[in-house]
Amino acid sequence: MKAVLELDSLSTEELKKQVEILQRRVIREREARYEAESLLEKKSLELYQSNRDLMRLNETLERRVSERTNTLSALIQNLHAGILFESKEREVLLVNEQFCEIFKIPAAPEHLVGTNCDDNLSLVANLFDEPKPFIETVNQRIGDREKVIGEIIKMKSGLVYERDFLPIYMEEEYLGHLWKYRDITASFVTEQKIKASEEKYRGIIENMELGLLEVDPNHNIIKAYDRFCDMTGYTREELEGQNANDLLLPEMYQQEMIKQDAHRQEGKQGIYEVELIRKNGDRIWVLISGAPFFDENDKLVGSIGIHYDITHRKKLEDELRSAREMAESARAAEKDFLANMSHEIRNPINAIAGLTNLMYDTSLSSDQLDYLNNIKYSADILLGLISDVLDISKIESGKMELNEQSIDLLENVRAVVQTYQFRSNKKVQYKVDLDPQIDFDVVADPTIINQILLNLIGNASKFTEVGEIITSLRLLENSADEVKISCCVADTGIGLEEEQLKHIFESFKQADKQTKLKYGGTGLGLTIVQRLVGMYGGSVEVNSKLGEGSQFSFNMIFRKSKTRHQEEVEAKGKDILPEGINHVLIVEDNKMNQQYLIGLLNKWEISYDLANHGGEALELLKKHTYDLVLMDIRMPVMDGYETTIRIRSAEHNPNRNIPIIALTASALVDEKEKAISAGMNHHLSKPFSPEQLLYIFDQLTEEDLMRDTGSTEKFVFSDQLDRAYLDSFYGEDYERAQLMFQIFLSNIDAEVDQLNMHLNSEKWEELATLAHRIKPNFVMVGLSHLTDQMVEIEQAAKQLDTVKAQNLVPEFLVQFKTNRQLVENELDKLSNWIN
Amino acid sequence: MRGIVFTELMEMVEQIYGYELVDELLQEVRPASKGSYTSVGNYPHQELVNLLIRLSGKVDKSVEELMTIYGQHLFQVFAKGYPAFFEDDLDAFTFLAGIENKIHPEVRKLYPDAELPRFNILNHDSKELIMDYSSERRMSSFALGLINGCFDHFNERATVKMDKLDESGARVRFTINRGA
Ligand code: HEM
Repeated sequence: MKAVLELDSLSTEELKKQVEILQRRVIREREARYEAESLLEKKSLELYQSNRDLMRLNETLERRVSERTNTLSALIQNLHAGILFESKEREVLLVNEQFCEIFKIPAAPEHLVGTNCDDNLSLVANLFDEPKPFIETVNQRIGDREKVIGEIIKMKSGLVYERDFLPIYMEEEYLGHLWKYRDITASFVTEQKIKASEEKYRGIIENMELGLLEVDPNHNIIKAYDRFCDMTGYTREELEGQNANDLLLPEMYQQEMIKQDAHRQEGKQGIYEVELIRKNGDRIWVLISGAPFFDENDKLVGSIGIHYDITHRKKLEDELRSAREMAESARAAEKDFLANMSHEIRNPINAIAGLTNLMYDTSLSSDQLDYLNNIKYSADILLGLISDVLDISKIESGKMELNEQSIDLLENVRAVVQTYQFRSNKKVQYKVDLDPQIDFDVVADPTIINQILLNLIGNASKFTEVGEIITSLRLLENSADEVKISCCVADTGIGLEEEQLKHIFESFKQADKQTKLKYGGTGLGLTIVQRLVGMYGGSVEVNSKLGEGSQFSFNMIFRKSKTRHQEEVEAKGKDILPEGINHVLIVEDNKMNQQYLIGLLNKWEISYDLANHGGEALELLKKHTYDLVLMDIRMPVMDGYETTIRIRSAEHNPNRNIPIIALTASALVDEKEKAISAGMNHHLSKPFSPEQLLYIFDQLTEEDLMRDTGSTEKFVFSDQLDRAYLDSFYGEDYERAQLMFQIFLSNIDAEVDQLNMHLNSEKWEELATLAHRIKPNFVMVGLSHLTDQMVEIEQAAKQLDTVKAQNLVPEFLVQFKTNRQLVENELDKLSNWIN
Repeated sequence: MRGIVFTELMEMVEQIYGYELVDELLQEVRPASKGSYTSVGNYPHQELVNLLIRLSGKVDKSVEELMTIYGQHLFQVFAKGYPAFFEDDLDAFTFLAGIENKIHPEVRKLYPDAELPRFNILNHDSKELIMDYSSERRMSSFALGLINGCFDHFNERATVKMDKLDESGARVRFTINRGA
């Protein structure tokens, strides 16, 4: 205003300036206005926008809240449990349909919100089994404001609920509480049923005379059932709370119980037998079936034992055991008796047969020769008979050894029948009917063939008083290598009843007592025949008619012999005397056998020395060298095995590797093996013929020849074995070494097992004996250190140094395992080398 | 800086010295905004400083003196423009003590881009008020003017002592005592 008023007094210059200022001011103010307007425009737009955003946010939030509320209440409505949420003033905040159903409230859940629960409590309480306690607990829970879960509530309707009470706090402030009722009727009922059936089964078990006992893991008795109380003589009160082991279990079973506990810990059942001490001090035997039981968290809380009184059974068992032991020792005695009989009877017969053989070399008249033939034959028959009767056990256990050779079957049959013809009372004719097609020798054991025939013909002759006994042979099949021959012994005797036919081949089953008295015999005859025929692939069949006679017939399969059998008597003069055997040592205690051997050697112009037992033999062997030793086994002072072992192991002994021929009285495979493993080279079972002995001499000289001229190449034993010993023990007799290794491997495992068993059962005496017995076996296959160990074990066991034995045996077992393999490998090498 | 600070400054200069000086200032300083200030706008703080420096040369007053005078003037404008802040029946001490926690927070709500100082109340009784100013913009003289304006408004008397707490003047202590 001031500027405008003063306009007049201003110069043009001034005026112009003032106008310019004004123009600028106007421009500035207009621009300021534009800017302000646009700013405000923008601002209002912003405001509008943010207002809209706010509105939207609000909507979403609202929606979310309502959604959440809906899901929550839907959740609660659909929950498989009755839910009631009360405020602290006991007003309903939330309730679901299930809850209304449980409490038989007719209103819809949403209409209940806001009503007071306290008012209705006494109304609904009547629905419950015990209304008063129900009201009391509800009030109690609300008063306590403490969480209580899993209360079981039963309704009058039979339904069962599990109730949870949950107080609800929001930041220290108590808002109210939630009741949850869950229907557990189904599971409750089954649980109840299970419990009932458990009780029922326990009842049944109790009725079955089984005593039940529940113990905790420390054996404290939780529950004793009536029957168990009866068994032990205690009352239930006396038992419960007591320690079962301390009270009832004898000291010696505590260990067993610890073992059983370990099983229980693993959740395993177990059945075991122990004795229990009754209240009156008596002992009873019980069979316990123990099973662990667990709580709902699978924690072992104890075990249930079912006890069965087996005192009576145990008594029976004991009696049975002692009866069995008696029977076994009787059997052992019988076996010993038989073995001795074999020895006692065979030796004299052997002598008769042997001397008869020598007699053939004297000049005889034809009558004398005839008698001599008969003496010899009878002696042979007697021997065969004894052998076979004595070896019945051998046959039964499959230990029968076949002594096969080339024989003329027809000649054999004729000879056997002939022996009967001598005894014949003329009323009975002994005849043969032999197939002439059998014009070849077969490979068979003549003793067995003879025994079969002797038994059958003998049998027939017993039951035949008049008529004939015909033995016939027929050739059935004849191939290049094998023949099938049928044999039949037919008589005209008393015959057999049908009933008798059925049992005729059973051991000791003779016709009947009368028959036995009248006809005598062991009753083993037909059994033996049946087994022996079986060895040649046949089976005996009987045809018989009472009063008309019987036919025993069978087929046998033989290998055909390549050579034709030599006539015995002719061969006698053509003996080829062994070369290289000039001086022999006879070790034999039996005078008659001595005579027999001396006779033979004189005949063959071989010089000899005589020792009556092993002791004398060793003395002689120190001073003289021999080409051969003939060694009896059973002798006084020192037996044949021991003597052989000493000969083989003595240092600086010129005869250390001398061939030794074992002369055994029995044909048991055992004895042969024993002889070989003691270090003998050959084996001859008594009685033997001069030919058999000659045959062995031949073999020896052949072996010698082989050794002298044959391959000079030597087998080199592994240096892991005691090579020096093996070389000196076997020399270059690698076949013997092979045999020894084989015998070792097939026997030693059982022996070692036995050794370990003796250790485990702490049978020290047996352990010592066994160690003593098997100690030489190891050195013979080059395991001298194992023999040393065995000596130590033997000593420890003898001195009852059990600690030492318990260390030594396992140590040995470890070594044995690896060394056994060595022996096996060596045997392979050896066998390859020999082939 | 809020536009009101600029528009009120221009208004004050025009009232005291006439629009010619306003025009001169803007012609010489030539601010980027061309001087067309509006109270709803927002302008660089440096423009204000430049205007005050140029003004100081023309009117023979230091920048500090100008800031104090301007602050005293602006308080009257605030009192008229923001009656809401004066609704409660207050005295000057209580009002000042509430700048940091009541007034300026409301200002920031209205103008989120406002650049405000910080006040720290060290003592507040019936006689004495001690408040520490701190701001990167170093406008303590402006604060002094506002404080003076405040006492004018409440019709009260007080002595205000200003102590720099650092070299730059970014931190300053106001010790205010009641009475003349
Ligand atoms: C009703 C009262 C008040 C209002 C509405 C107010 C509002 C404002 C506004 C709008 C600004 C400008 C901010 C910017 O442009 O970015 C400001 C700055 C400022 N105000 Fe206040 N104010 C008030 C009272 C006071 C008082 C009493 C004081 C002094 C103690 C004060 C001290 C300051 C200072 C020093 C600044 C400058 C910025 C700085 O130093 O960083 N105000 N005020």
